[in-house]
Amino acid sequence: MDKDFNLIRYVTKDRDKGIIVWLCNIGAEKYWNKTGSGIVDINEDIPVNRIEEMNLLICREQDIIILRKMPDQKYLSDLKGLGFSIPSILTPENADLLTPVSELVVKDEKLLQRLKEIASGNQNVYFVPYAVTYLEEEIAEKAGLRLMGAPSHVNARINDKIFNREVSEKLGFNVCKGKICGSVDEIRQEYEELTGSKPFFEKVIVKEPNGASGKGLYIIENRDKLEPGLRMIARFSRGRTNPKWLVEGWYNKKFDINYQIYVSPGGEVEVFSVKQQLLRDTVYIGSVLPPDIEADIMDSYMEYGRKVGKYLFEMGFTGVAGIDSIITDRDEIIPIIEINGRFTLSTYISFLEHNLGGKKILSRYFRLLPDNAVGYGNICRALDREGILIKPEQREGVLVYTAGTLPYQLNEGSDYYVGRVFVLVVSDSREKINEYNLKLEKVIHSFSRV
Amino acid sequence: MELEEKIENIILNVLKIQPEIIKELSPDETLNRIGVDSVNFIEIVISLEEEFNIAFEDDELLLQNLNTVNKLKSVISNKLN
Repeated sequence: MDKDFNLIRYVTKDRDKGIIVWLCNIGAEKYWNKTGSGIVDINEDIPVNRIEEMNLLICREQDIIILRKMPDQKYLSDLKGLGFSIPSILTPENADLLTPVSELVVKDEKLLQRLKEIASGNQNVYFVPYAVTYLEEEIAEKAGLRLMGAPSHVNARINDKIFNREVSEKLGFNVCKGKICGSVDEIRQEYEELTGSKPFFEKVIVKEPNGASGKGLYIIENRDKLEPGLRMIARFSRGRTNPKWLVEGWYNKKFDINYQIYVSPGGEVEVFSVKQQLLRDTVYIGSVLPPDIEADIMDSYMEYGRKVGKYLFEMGFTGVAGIDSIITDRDEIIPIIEINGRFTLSTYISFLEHNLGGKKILSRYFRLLPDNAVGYGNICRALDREGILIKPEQREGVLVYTAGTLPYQLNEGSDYYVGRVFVLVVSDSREKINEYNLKLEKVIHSFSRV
Repeated sequence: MELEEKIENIILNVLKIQPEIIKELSPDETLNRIGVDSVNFIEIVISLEEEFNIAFEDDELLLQNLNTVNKLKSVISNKLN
């Protein structure tokens, strides 16, 4: 029966089939592999944990979603007005804003009982988390839910940049020039090799195998930054046995591309989205849909996605994977920079056609540090005053697609507001999108001090 | 050079900001107000470790415990003593 399940069909053509229990357990990577330590900023972690609301964009009405906090009512009503389906929302008891949501669920007997009732009282109930770790496996077991996704040890293997490079090499794909290094001295040597011989890279990137969200990535911009960079790398590998890093040349790029694949339990592979990513160095700040690339390049990505999906299925993977890729300034495609064997933020904005039609979309993300609290209502009113807030009748303009990530409250122990704004800029024309985008930036900057 | 001045110089060098900006900040105001975040703070930590020959343990690297000049002074003083 599991082999009949196909997530992509369920969120597109077969929206009335089955019931999906969704859980956006963002940050789950830390349970797969020990990552390099860095600075923990709980004021940033709090809005990041509310990114879970993005999951609402792909829910069907009969579904269940577990969120740590009930979303803003106006936000839910606005989503509904635009045609998004609002599922039943369950929240764990005594949920704080910092504890990972799966840890909250696993400790909540009442919630687990409710999930058990849903699983036993309905046909075709599927549990689809953002990422599968031992926690979601425990939730599934305790609640009698059918967990859709690969076992956690398979996902842990995939979410490793060194493994990703091995996949590329085995599939005969182009890879970035570089090497796996096991010491700071080796990194230094590889830096010399990459900058001192063709194609004479200006910059070099050093990657910890299991970093996520921009962490564990060190760009050595020039020779002056080499020794400080190596000190930082050494500092954060202190105490780790057998550390490894992937050291690669930094290519000048025409495009950063993300493509999303789905591998069904039966082994079908579908490339369901290709987007142009907007990055600031290594951190994602938005996407362009559809990407402005030639048809033959799009076809190439479909083929890469199918090959990667087949390879991953053969090692036991099923579910959603997001693949980052680049097209260099010499028009060379490097199909795999990184494979995320889980949902990514990009996944949740891959099915917007259902509600927004065949529009062109620019998704943007801003970090906001305002002087005062800024909630969903404040942002929407400001966008409306600028004449760019999306309205259901026209489906043109700016849609704020999460409310809980905004700096709507002062966190305990903090004396400043911090949050994240996630928006979609929607129009039939690229010119209009650029126009709305400029006005959007003006609105955002009016709120932020930095 | 006093401890506070050394700390401020390190912050200025990492953030590449003018001295006046940090002078306008009170020692108890959070450094986030002048652009410090969890990414650039890594460089500040490493520079402090090198300058004072100290080491921060991994579980000490919580930004909320280190994000004012006074908090840094206090932590560094304790380590030096």
